[in-house]
Amino acid sequence: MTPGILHRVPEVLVRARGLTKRFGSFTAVDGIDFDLYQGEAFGFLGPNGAGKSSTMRMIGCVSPPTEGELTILGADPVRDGAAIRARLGVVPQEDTLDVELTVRENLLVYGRYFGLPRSVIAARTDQLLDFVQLAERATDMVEPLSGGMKRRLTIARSLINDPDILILDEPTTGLDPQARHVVWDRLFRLKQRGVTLILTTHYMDEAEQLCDRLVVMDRAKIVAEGTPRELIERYSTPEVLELRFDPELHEQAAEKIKDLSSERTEVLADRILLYVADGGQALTRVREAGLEPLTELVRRSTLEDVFLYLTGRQLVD
Amino acid sequence: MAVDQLAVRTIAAARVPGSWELSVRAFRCWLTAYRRLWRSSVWSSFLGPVFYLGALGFGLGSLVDKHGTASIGGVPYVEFVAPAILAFQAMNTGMSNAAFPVYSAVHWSRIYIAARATQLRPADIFRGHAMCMALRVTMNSACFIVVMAAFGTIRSPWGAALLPAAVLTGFAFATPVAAWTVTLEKETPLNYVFRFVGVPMMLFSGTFYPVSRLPG
Repeated sequence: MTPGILHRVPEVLVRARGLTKRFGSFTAVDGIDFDLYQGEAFGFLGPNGAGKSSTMRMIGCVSPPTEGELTILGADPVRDGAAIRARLGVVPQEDTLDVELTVRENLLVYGRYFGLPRSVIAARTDQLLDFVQLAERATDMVEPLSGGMKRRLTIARSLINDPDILILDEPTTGLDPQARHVVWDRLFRLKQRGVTLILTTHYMDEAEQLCDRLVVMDRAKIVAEGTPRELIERYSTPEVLELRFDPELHEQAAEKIKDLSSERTEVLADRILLYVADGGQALTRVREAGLEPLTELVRRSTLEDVFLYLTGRQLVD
Repeated sequence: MAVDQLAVRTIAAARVPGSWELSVRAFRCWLTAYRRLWRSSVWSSFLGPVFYLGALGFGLGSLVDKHGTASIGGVPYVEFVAPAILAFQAMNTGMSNAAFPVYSAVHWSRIYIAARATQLRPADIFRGHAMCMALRVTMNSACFIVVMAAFGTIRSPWGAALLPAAVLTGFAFATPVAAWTVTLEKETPLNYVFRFVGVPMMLFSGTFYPVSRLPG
């Protein structure tokens, strides 16, 4: 391979092989492999307890791997943890802002942790507060800020050291829909600027909006990997027909539909999902069989369908 | 293409500063927070000793002094009790600045958790906080000594040793309490340390009367 070609090859920032984390007899992460490339947004998708946060903590160099290989920016997280952390930005699942300080002071304190000169911190603080739309609150205390504002401040704070990799553990959990969209918008802009993102989420729409590539984790293992589109094509059908019946008739209808169609069906507590190429046609067949649903919806397949297929489980929370 | 042929980014000339520098970074974080509070804390640092020395030294002291003070070395009661209360308040300041602040840094404000995501290592984070505890004990004790002097209780050049002795006393309590607190999952046991360690130490360590007066 010539050096010229090498230049155009994406750089690997994080590499994991057989990465395992055990707490006593409990295996939180069970031999996972993945690579994170420069400039991409890489997602870990999975239900609560799948091992996403444990993986993030290992990448964040705050929890040593039990087994396997983990290389971050070419270094060993156990031996070179402090040097690696200097190049990471972390947005933890729960805010760790100092609520007794002002918005600005939070960035000052954090910048100092990285040993940045005051002038650099001040200049970056202005830019970052503008970026997360908190410039007007710069001198306010953190305590009374809304959940969405605190999240945005946490994101600004995580960028104070101009990190190579930004790690976000469930960045929008607990936010209302408007606040989530503002956070997504900011993260998308970061991605456009070439910041490498790793994020965990249990929101399918979040993964679809933000991730270039993602892995689905379930019970400590990676069960699928690909772009959102690839995953949908590989594990789902073009369309999904969602039917809702009178609760009394729900089970009966489910049985009939299973007999009626050769395609995959998923019976949830409240709905029946038919995975089909053409939702309209499928609905006609259901009606012809004498079943009249209370509501029906034909939609495109989403990551949620992939998730249901892979884990056989409905996402809770 | 085999994955191993891909370019792997390496941290360019990663330099990790020494423990001292990292600890000072953690310490400065506490100073930023303390800047907001120090005025009110100085007030209480002066008022506390004024109350103690006024009530015990002069109030109670006037009764004691009337019956002769041979058993406490022949000095006025206020002079007997003042350094002891200084030691007690140093212990108390040390414990107070280690107990709930450390618990909060793990569970409520999560300052430790935030710092852990940066270059700082756990030992740096703790050393930075310990410096803050030492500073608080020093400031409180210095205020106390000023009040002691104002009450005319310092007559020996040994008075110069009061401050280092008080700081060491406070720090000797702050560090083990911090080490214990950081392991707690619930905050309720924190009150026990004051109730079952602090208060008995104050009452039975010869603070208000010579230890020789205790039976046995």
